[in-house]
Amino acid sequence: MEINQPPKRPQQLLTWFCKDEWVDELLGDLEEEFKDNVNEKGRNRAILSYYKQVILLLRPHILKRKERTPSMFRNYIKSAYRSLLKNKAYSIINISGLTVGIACCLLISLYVHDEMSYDKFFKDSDRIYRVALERVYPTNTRFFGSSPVNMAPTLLENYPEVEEAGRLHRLFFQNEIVVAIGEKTFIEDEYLFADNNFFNVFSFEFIEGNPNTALDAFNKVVLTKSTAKRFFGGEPALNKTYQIDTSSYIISGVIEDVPVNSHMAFDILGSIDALPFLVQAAESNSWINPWLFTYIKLGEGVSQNEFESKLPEMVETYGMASILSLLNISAEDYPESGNDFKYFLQPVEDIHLKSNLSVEIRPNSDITYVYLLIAVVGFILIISCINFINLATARSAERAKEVGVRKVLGSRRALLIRQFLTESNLISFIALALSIGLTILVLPKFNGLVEKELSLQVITDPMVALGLLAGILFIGTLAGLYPALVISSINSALVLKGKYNTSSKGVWLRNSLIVFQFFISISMISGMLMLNKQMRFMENKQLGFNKENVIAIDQAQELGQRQQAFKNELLNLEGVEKVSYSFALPGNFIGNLIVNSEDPDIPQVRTFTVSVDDDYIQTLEMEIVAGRAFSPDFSDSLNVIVNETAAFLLGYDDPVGRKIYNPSPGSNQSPELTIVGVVKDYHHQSLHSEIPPMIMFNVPQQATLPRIGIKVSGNNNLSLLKNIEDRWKAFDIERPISYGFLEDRLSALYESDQQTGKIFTLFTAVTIIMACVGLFGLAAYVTQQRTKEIGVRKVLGASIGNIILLLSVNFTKLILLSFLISVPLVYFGIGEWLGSFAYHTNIDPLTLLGAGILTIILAWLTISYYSIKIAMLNPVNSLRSE
Amino acid sequence: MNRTFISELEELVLLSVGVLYPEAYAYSIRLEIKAQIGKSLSLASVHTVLYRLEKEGLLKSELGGKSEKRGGRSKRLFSLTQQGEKTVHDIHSVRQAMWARMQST
Repeated sequence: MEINQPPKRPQQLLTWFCKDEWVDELLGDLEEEFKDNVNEKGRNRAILSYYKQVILLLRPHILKRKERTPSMFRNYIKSAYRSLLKNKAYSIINISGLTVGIACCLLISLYVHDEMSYDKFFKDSDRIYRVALERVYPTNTRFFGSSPVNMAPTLLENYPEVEEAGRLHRLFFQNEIVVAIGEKTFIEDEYLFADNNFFNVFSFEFIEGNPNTALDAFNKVVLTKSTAKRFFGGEPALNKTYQIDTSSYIISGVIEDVPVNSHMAFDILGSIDALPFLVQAAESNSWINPWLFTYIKLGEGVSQNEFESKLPEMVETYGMASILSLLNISAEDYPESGNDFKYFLQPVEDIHLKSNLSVEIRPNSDITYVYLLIAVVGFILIISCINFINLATARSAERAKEVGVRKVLGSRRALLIRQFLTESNLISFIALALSIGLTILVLPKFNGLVEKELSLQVITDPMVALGLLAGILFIGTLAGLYPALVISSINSALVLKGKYNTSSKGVWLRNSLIVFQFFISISMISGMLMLNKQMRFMENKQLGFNKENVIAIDQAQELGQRQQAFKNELLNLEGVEKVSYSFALPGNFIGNLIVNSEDPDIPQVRTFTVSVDDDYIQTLEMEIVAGRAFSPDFSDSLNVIVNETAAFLLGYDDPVGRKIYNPSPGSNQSPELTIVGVVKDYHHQSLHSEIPPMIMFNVPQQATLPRIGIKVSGNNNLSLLKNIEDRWKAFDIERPISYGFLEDRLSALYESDQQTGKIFTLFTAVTIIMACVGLFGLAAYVTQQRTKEIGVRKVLGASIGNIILLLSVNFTKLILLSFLISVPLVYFGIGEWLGSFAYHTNIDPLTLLGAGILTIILAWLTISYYSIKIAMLNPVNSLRSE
Repeated sequence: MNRTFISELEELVLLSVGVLYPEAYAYSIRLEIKAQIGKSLSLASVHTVLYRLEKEGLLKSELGGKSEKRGGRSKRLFSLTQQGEKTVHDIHSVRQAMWARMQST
């Protein structure tokens, strides 16, 4: 090889990537340079330089234009576009169905995403747990989200696994606290209490103040940013003060607002040391009352189960003395007493979806609903895909000719499949674009329905956007694949001879898809009907009292000694029938008490208690089944009224005149209470829970009670409310009146059920509409294919009625089949859901049947358009072309 | 004065073509520029400039001048078009005028 021959490899490289027209001259230039270089610098440096120059030549304008096949792809798009335009009805059905399906999915995904995001924003949220209590009583078991006051310090001190432990308390009895700043007063209903360690557990960001000392004294408080703004305008709030009653509190910190997606919500955090009963409970080391929430952060690598298993021993070591003394049981008797305190840990991320215990900071959601919605999304997507597949296969007769011609002209099968997939993906991408628009359009309404502030912002996240596109591609391909395979497999010779008939092809699949689709629809309709039935049941259930026309006023303790005077004023108002003071109206929180029966063999009964005045039972129109109601004619301070359940549990057949005992802690002398009456069981709590044993205490007139129930005649409520408010103001009470109708407040107990009901109804409607739209499209093709057959039948004397029947009978069979399949599913699924209500309506066959019949009628109406149209057709027209 | 604005490198290449004519091709232009300003340019960047100038109509080219040194391959010989010549002159006169004014102060 000659010394000044340029290297081969870069030459080949250049020839490979460079445009042909330039290869020659460039190689020439390079060779010339190479030879000069060899002479000047030697061969090696020359080769190096040659390589360098070639690599530098990798520039866009020098590169070969690759002869790819964009033209083919363009052709796919073009023919897909033409086929969309050619069959407008088909395209509209397909695209709109898919659009609605995708939009529903987007909405539900946003909802689910939001539900799943709760409390994940805290630093180390996967290591934060709440200590919850399973309290076993002799007669029953109750779960509390809360735990005793000294739990947190005990855990922090004695267990090295516990990195941090903080406490949070929400007042049980009082919802609102009035805060005074100078002349201004604010009513605060999200006023919670925490200890100084709370901020060690939860990573709240401090805008002002120091988290380490924020709550280390009883008079320190921490505000959220928006509260601070409300109180002090834009000024810094640190070290400013406000008053509650006569005490003054100093603002030691301002934190960012608690995000909406947290199981906790507060505007102000006071110190738990500001609450005497908590301080007292801490000093006396009480381990019996679960009064506050204990949050712990476990060390890294500590497992939940491992630590949980140490909790029984902890109760034994640190709490047992207090438990025995407060329950007044000796250590020997304790194991048999039927009492137990079992603690367990709840991951803080799970609380929102999985915790529904007796004491929660605010009502939580339910993971079942999330699962239900995910299932609904799946159904809707499946239905849209089925529509797509069904319509496409039904149309294959029409496309067959096109495919035949394409095949004859040399198209391979793979290319045909690619063409059909392009078409289906084009449809799904159009649907995606439209569905995003649709989602933006309905999102505000949907937000109103689910009471959230969801936004479509998430999809601007590249990962989410990519996922969405991938999902759409998947749907488009999935839905397009089967039709593509079927249609591309046809024998072109047969088609072009006109012998191809699709009506037999894919019928089996089409039919099973229809069955599946209607199986889902019928199940959802029955579910919806049952849901509504349960809602109606709850609305109409005899609660044991009359909730209508009762006005409830809260915070009546503000009236102090003037309660009787206020009551008299109210009674003077026109339309007021009865007025009663009480500790709690139905639906309000009530306390509980452990009592003993006269009969030593009967175990202790934990009863709920409510203190009421003489008019309570009459105001709420409760029924006394034995004995008498409280009355001003008797001194009832040691007399009680029990409900039927309590009487039963105490073992009294004839309870009036019998005694019950309240084993007060630390003393052997039990106060003795006499039963003077039995009230018919009534629902103090929501219908989710069973009626507990209840005891009513009578409260003398002088005592102050927090609530007023006013029975009114029901005419002219508006002006009456106004009058009541005026009277309240006339009493010169600083706090604005807070009132409402009992009926409204009770229905708020079922808010989450109603909300689910609404969402479910909405999506059921979407499902059934989509199923019908699909059926409509299908009916169009199927009937069209039978045009000639119908023509012959008519010529031979079939009536219009005969023909409509003939056309409907096939679909009807399929729907009947799906009905049969759906019955067991509905039976068990809905039974399960109803079981979550202690008082529920039954699944009745009529409802199921109703759902089936409704579906069949809808389907008939759907297909009737085409059946009637074709049945009315003059046979001359349909047969002439033969 | 209606002329295309061109970069310094383009101007250099344009001038080189004018100087080297009729033996102006990529390699000789590179050598010329290296001789004049002492900086060696890659074949790629010179080729890019030539390609662009030709597209803008300042240069025209034809193939020719095969030689043994090039392995018998032809050169793409460049020459100025009318517009190219005008551009070179324009640039020159603008600079001269400005130089004159700078010296007078």
